[in-house]
Amino acid sequence: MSGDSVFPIDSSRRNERTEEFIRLFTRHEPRIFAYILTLLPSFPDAEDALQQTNLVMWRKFGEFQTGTDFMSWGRRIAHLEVLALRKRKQRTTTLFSDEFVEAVATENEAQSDALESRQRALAVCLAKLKPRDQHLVHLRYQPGATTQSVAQQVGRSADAVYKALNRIREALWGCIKRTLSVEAHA
Amino acid sequence: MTRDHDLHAELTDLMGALCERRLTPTQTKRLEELVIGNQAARTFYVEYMHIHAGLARLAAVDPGTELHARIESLLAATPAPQPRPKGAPVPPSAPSVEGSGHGNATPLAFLGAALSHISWISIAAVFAAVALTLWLRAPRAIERPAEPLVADAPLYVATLLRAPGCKWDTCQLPTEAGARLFPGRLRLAEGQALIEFDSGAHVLLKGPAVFELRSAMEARLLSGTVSVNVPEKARGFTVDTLSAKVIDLGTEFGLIAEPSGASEVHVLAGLVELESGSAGHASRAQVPAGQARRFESLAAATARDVPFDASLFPRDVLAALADEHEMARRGVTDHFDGDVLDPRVWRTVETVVAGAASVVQIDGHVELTNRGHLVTKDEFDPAICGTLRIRGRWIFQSEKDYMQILTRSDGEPDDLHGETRNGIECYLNTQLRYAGITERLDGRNAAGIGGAAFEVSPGDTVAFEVLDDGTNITFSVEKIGDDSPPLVIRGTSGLDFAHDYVVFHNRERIEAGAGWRELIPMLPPEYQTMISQLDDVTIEVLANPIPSDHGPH
Repeated sequence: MSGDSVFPIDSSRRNERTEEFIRLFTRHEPRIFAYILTLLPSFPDAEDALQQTNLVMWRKFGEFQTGTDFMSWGRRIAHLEVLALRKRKQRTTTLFSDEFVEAVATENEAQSDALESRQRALAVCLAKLKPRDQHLVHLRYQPGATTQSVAQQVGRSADAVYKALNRIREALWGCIKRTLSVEAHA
Repeated sequence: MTRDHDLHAELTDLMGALCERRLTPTQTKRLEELVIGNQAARTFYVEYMHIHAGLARLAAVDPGTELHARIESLLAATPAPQPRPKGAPVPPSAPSVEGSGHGNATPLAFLGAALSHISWISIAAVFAAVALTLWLRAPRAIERPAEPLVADAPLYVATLLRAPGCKWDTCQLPTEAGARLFPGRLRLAEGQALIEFDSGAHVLLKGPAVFELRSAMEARLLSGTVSVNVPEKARGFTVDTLSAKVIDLGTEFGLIAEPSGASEVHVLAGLVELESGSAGHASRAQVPAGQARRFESLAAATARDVPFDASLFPRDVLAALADEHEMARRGVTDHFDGDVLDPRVWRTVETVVAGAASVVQIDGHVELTNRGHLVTKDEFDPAICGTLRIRGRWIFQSEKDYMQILTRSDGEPDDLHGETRNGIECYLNTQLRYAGITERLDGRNAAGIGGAAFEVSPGDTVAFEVLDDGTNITFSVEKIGDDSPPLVIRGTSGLDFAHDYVVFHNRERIEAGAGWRELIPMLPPEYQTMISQLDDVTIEVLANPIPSDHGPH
């Protein structure tokens, strides 16, 4: 099956639908990734599930009703892909319990509306980090990077890098909270 | 308040450990308890993981570009800020980030204010548009390599054996031959690179290609062409692309990943198992040697037969390089019997500026004249092979001659005197009555790394031994038929060169050495030609590290 058979409709309609998919996907994909990562807190697993989610969304986009909630639709697909991946990986990977996953999925839905503003605040707060801390974040979040590999690159101990990254994420969390609070009262 | 504070501190620790893959089973259980049983903990967990995800997305959009540059480029790419609705004031000063100093200290201080004007939607759209482009053009370009949740993964998974003439795009892994590789991505712009996974699988990557090492048993081809050779001990070695997964059942295969997401597997020998399709729609098939399958697109669950074409894959090169590597492991033993040097083992270099250089095999030994170079055909990189041991006998014939043995060398005579350009050199100088180790770097003695007096004269036979593990060098000499004790010199050098030949040579013809020109009138004619003999050479790779006590033989 190729991508051309996704929409069994005339080509102009297909192009229109493709554009619509790209527009919606563009807007929501980072949020779907964030959702998946809360359920599968390991980047490779989360990326695998995201990839599968994207493929299913693309294939099933013909069933999506324009005007309904794309994020909610995408989250449902992502949830199923997360469960499928958990089933596949059960024997090889340490995973949280089903109860944990369900509790976090529900909490995600509750926080869904706030996610966009939180991501905006993250960009604002990132820009405020010291250059040294920005560099550390840059190194740590490169594909494949680990605490150890970053420690080697910056010539510090793995423990020192570990503590610094935790301090930075904690600082970002606090900054985001304050930023949103200021905005809410503005 | 205190209880809230304690909970927050505990959660912060747990989340930090989770994100850095240091979460112990006990901590996992505790985090579960908190998140399931406590609403505040649940909220914090989700908020914290959203930050983790946001940072990863930021880095994944364009790996290799510094974060601040990326934010700047995003600002540049973002449409002009829309005027804020009347009555919606900009916060007078955005909050600072605790623990990170004041925003003013950063070159990006202005961004805080600038970003507060910009809709996150537009920023997210730029991120996501780039991400989507990457996803569509180079499937899985934003993916990360495998890593277990609990931090017990080995740091290294493979070694870059060879990369002659390779050009690399920005990538996160070292690209020097001999480099150990941890999980991550290689971006080969041009050339062919041979990678040996710690499982024993060999992969020859043909540029342009993007290849991700995930573990000693797993890799991902994002784009380009690879040939894969898997010995029995690495059975199960897996390479996947966006559209297919190839599980090796002890064989050799070629794989192509196209930017469109299509991929092709050609089975060169043995049998492979193919997996394709998404969760719930996966299909599996076994493909024997001489057959090929093609997966058309991202969504393809089934493959179609295509004509098998072994010429698409640089299989011969893979085999040759693997053989060469194996030869290096086997080593060299040569008593120089017969009249000609073994061309499979040695090459000679006689292009020494000082002139009249030669290397010949004669009367059961090698005769080195006027700095003629005897160079191994194979490379012996101690960083790859393990500790290298070079042993043999050297018979001095001339006054003021030197014995010079190099490892990690290019084997190229360089300056007026014909000294070797690069390598680690162990030498014995009859003129100075001194033995030592020196680093040769770009045609000069970069640094002496050990030495001691050692008396030697024409007619003396010296047994020598050089041990090099890539860092530690031990050089031993002992005169045969003499009661004087052996000399052992130890030094360290981390120099790593493009080539790793073993080289033997003596001194150049004195009359052409510029530095010695004024001495020539004072020297008897027989001093002007340097001849040494070399015999019973062995070069081997030791399974064990350098032993602490040993003599040359």
